[in-house]
Amino acid sequence: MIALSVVFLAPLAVMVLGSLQRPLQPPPNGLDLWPDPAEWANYPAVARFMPLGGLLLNSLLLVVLAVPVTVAVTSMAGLAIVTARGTARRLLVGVSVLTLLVPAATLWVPRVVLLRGVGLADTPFTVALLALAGTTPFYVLLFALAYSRIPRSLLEAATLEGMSPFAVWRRVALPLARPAAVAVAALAGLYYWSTFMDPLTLVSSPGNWPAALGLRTLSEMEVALYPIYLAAAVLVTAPALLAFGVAQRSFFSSVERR
Amino acid sequence: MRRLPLAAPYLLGSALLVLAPLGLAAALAFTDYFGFRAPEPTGTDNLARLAGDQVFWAAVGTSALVAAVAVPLRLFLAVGAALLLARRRGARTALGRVAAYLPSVVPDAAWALLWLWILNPLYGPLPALLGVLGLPDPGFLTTPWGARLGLVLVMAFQVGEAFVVALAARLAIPSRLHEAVAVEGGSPWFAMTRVTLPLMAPVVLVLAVRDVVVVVQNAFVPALLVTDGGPVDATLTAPLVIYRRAFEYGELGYASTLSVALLVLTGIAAAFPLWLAARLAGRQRVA
Amino acid sequence: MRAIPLVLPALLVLSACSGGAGADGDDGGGGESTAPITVQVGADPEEAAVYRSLVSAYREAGGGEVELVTVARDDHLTRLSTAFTSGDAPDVFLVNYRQYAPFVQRGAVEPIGPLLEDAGVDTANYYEEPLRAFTYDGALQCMPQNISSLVVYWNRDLFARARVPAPTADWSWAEFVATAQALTGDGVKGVGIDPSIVRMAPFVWSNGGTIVDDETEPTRTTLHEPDARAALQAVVDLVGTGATPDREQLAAQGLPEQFMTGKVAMFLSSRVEVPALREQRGLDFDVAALPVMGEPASVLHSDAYCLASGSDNAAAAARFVAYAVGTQGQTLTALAGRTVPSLRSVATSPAFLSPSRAPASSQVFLDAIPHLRHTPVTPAWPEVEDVIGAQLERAFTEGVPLDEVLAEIRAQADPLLAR
Repeated sequence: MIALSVVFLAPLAVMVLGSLQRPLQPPPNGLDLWPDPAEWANYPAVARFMPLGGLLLNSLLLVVLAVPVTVAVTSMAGLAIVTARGTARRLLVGVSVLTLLVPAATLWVPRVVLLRGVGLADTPFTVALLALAGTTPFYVLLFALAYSRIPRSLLEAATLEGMSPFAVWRRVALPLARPAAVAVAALAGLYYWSTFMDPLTLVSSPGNWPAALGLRTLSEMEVALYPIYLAAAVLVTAPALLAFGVAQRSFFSSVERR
Repeated sequence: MRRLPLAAPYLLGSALLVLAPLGLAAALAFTDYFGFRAPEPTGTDNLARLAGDQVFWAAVGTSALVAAVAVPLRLFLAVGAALLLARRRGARTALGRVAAYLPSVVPDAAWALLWLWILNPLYGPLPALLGVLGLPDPGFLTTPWGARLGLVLVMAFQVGEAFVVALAARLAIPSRLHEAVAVEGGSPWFAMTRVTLPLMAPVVLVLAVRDVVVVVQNAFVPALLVTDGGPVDATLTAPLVIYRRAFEYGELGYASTLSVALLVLTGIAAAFPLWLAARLAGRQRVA
Repeated sequence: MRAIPLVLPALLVLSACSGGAGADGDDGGGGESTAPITVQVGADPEEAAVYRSLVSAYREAGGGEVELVTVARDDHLTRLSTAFTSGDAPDVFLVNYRQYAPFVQRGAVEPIGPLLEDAGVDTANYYEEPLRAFTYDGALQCMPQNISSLVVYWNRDLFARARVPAPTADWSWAEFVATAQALTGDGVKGVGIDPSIVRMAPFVWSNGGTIVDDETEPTRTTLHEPDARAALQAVVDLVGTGATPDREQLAAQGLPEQFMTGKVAMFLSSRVEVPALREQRGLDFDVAALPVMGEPASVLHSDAYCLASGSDNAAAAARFVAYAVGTQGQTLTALAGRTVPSLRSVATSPAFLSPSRAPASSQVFLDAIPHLRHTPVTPAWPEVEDVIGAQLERAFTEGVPLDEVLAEIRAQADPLLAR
């Protein structure tokens, strides 16, 4: 188990150590990865190679817009899957499975043509539109899993009392699925923070790019400057790690609870 | 149907952002369209071109090859981690779960930048490590097979989603089943091969299908940022061909043809395992 | 080698300065209240600084607001295509003649001729070769900013250390190979040549060959024909001597970087490298003419400003282009080292030729003009180049026999040209 953790953590450790090496030095001999002394100046230097502030702001805007919408859409759809019967249920599961299996590359061209047609391509929040479709059906299924542990009689009793489906969702089901909601919010936050392919095809102006796409420019940097591009990678990764650290407990308990 | 109002936003969003684009792609697939003038219908010209498009078919082969190696490796890691981290509670289990998910938290582009350095033949730590250990260096960025191996390596670690699903499936197995095996004096190996894995099989199969889609798609980022499709098109995968056709050569019509072809191929590849998973799950329900 | 750590501070200072220039941009006088135009260029950081200074000079001259979008060189075309696809194209974009034809064919370019005339530009003052390269469908589509060509960059210190004489104006291919071999050793490779058709074309022409059957309306490639094949074989043989970087070195670092850090003594490129090379302190470099196989030959490298057909601001865009290709704009980019001016009067002025700014032998670029040729201007060309490049790479770095590679080029590239 420890070996496994080491395997998974090694690349991250290498990233942080690499970001503290001295730029423009000959490569360290063999595996001399420990930076001595640590070159913290690499971090402020990142701002000279990419407009970090604007990029991070765009990313933040995306997350703030897309996460609540994603949670709302998927938590409602998840409840619908659990309570629906027959054709309706098959329709919902069918749409979800189909969407899971569509390669994103298939949607690149028609999405940009469509969004251009309605004048919504190339804005800082274009990518957030994906939240309207729940971002990924995976989240819908996560909610469905959580709701399926709520005693069915509880939901049926609420309906018999004359509550509307929205009231059942809002006042009964969602509060009982809070860990799932936290988990989906965290996952969606990570998704919109990290997304690279969506803005690559949907957002053409560099001023509208999120931070992850901004990193692309650095892939063409001189290899000798690798500590600086690793520092940029660490900077863009850090908020995601932080968010995950905060949410991981609810996240894992959402799959664990019975 | 009473509950469907709750699904309305999801269905509407999916219709607008998934189904409508799919329909549009299917329509554009039979046109010449460059994004300036209106699309010009060209009948089946694009299909004929597709049939003879060596670059695309070679890229489909590359994608399939990468998936054939990466998917089993990723599933082994994800399911293995899920089994190891399912049993005990406590700080070490919690830590292990976080560790297994952590690489998936790193943005793809940052992850690719990291590997761009790790694999660099002169500056990178991995070729250096292989040299110190006296192992042969496959030439991660310089030889066709080395580059494909590099691509697989980049994707091997980011298995968070599959890990969580496998973990949920493992935790869904009632613990009384394992208790029963223990009472009867069955070995842990017996419990694993006769109880745990068979019960998880349908989920693992579905995961495998999903992972083929994920790998084929996600290989795009390292193929674009780390290997740039090279050396000599060795890591030119199907999504990268579509991307270049659409956004480098500007041929949106023919790129749509390729998009639809990729969708159909994915559907064919997914159909059999999904059918098998449904049958397995059905049999378990009966048993 | 001691100078290497200085690149970073230099880069930092450069980008810091230009960042500042962008921030205090409101002193251009509010006389003309036209909407800002957007200009997209593909440039490395040092080049980007040149275009930023061009834009701020235009603003100071009362020209109006320009929003400059600089993207990485390799990313330029993709960004441009994406921008056109999403309906948000820049008003003006700078593009190479090898790559603009698809944009014209698809109706993305507004022919610039008439608008430039209105802005007072007389094309008779400019070199003809770039104007010809940017004429398509019988009209001047975009206005060239430069008339660069392929030359040999060489490192004086490494030549001196290896006791190799400096290149001469009319050196032969054999002398070039011998020089490259003499320079190789002690962690240094003699010469770096990218496996691409723009690098190979001048040698093919010099040897009496052609790259396509018809330069104006190509229908097939001709690299397999004897003269062309012999030229390519000569380059492959040079690679075989070990005087060029091996594939690990090529994968680890780009050629310009290797040249800057003293790992290759010569490399082939156009004028575009000069701003970055000047920033590399301690690097003493110059340029020389290409070696000759038969007749002297070189290949045109030229970028032009194109107007997007959908622009709402065509007149303001044309005014900016007129400034950029006018005496002031051309002098500015020539002084910064970026361009071989397309405007004759500036090309022959000290702004370009002064030996006090490296490279000392800039005259080499002007001497090449009489025997400049250009690759075909046709919509399929960018893809043909990609195909040929990928195949040449196999011959250069993987030791695939040349004939196999040439057969593959015919099989893949000819259908593209025929379409």
